[in-house]
Amino acid sequence: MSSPIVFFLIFIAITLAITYWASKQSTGSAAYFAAGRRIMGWQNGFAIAGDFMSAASFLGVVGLISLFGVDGFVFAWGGLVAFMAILLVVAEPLRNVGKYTMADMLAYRHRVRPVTAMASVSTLVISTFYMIVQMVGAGALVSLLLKNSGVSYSMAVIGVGTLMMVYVVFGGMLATTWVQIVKAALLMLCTVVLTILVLWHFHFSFAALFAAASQVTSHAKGQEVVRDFLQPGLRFKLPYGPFELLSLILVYLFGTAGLPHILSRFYTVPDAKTARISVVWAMVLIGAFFIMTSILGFGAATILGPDYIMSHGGTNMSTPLLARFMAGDIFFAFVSAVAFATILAVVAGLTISASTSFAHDFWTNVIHRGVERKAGETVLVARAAAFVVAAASMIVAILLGPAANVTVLATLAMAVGGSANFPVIVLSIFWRRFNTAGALSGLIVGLLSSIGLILISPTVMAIDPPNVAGSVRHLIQAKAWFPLENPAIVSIPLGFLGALLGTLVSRDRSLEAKFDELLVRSNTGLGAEQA
Amino acid sequence: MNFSVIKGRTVSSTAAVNGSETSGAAWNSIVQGSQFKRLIKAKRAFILPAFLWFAGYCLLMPLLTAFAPRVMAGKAAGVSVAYWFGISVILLAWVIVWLYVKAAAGFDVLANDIVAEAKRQAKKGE
Repeated sequence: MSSPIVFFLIFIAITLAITYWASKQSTGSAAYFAAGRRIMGWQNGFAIAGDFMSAASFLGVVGLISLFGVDGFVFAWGGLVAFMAILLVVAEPLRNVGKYTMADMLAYRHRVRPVTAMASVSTLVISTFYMIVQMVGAGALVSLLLKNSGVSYSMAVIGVGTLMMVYVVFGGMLATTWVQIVKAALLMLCTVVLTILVLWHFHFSFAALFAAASQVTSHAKGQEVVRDFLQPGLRFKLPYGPFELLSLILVYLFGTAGLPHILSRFYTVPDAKTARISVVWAMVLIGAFFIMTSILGFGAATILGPDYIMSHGGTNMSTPLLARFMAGDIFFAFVSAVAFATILAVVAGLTISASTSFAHDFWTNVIHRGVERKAGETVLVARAAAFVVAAASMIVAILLGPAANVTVLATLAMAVGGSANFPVIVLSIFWRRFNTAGALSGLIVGLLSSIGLILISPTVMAIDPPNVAGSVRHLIQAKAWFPLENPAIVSIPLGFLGALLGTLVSRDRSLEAKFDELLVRSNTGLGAEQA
Repeated sequence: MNFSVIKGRTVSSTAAVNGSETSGAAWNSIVQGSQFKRLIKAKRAFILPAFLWFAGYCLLMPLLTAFAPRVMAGKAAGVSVAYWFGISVILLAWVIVWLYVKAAAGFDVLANDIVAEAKRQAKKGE
């Protein structure tokens, strides 16, 4: 048995023990959906950081920096930028007035059934798309990391899918949170060790590291090229580069604050003050993590070189390859196992937010008008939904195959978060005149414009040369109508505009008075759900 | 104590505060109170400028890349401005976090006063 598998089995054993322990804890809706609201600030901080430090950042960001230099670093600091809106605007009000989901807060001052239904749709869209990305990533990673161990893409997808099903169905939010905390700690440990190794290589001289990074040699079409990785412009090229960059930063500023699996974390803590403390922990961890990823990225670019990375699996392999070069096969195995753990923990978080939204928002609040016919019905429905969501995403990931271009789905998930969810959350908190029609049209316009713009963007529309085959080919073989990969620069304003126009064409005085109540509750925590 | 929230259509114009029913008028009287006005004013005075300044600073990067590419490509202490910019965003975020935590301690005091007063009023009404 190869050593990555040994480390991975150890992690699985730990997480299954956590799940068993969690399943023995008290039962009931608040226990299942919100971990009994007893998670401490620092714990929730680690869990939030863990949700955000997905394989996309651990492997992807380092990979981008190792190939595109400082342009790749934007993906790192952008990740921290994302939490400012959560800290200042979203976290505390959401904890003060919600129960389990984002829709709870919207339900306060709008007509419950249409708004909840629509919020649930956008939650499900974001979670399932994100999940498919993670599943395909998991499968592809296995075929790279465990090349000679006989674990195939489909086996990896089924393995990851089954484990996340077990965590969520049996352990609920409590198990999911602790799996995420353990993973985040492992990930930080890995990153710190690797950073120290890289700095050691340069005799702890930043000057030496940056000097090396300003002269990175690579080969393109048989020509030797020396490039300065500290200079911008390697990825964001003119004429659309600055717009792409603007779009990216906008989606970070507003998109993360609309991601349901991050938002649902704030219901697991006792009160709004703890929610605030947990964002502070998350921001310290994520900031430190991303500063270190820049060192790892420059390290991979200078120590390994872009040629070596591209011929050994591409961007996503930069981190594991660096680990192998610096500290041998055992550390490579450990880093690979942590990468798996990351995917596993993130998909579990996505599954529980999707199933919570389906059960609590859609089943109970929309279909059954907020009444549980039998005690425990919502939890039962959520467990069934988790099972279905996991099975469906496994099947889709296997059908798509390891080479599928899934970055489009990740972009889409963030764009929907920023264009549909964020405007409606913010306007509900701050605008007295805002109403049901506005919330609905904001959600619908944000959702449709993100999807529509991505369908006509270069990620979906492009003309491939005839030798590009199968799932790597672009879906629509024509020149893209919309020039940017990231639609946020257009779709976020459209989402706000949709909410604004929808509000202005209708008036619902009966619910306007509710704004006072929401204002008091969200700002003072009066009547908030107790631990 | 257990507050029942979100029960179907009627959400909470009749939601319970400390066991007794609170009407729309009661919520309105809290909103009109001087304590609450102070809280909202204090929060707005911090949150709005903090977020706008921070967002503005972040958006400076694409704007400079578009209109003044030389600035981003310039070097300071052997490293490009583009890299320092990224690091400075992270440091600025940490500074704002620290300032917010300090400011929010003040908001908590005001909020607790308002909650305590509302509960006293609700008890009196029983």
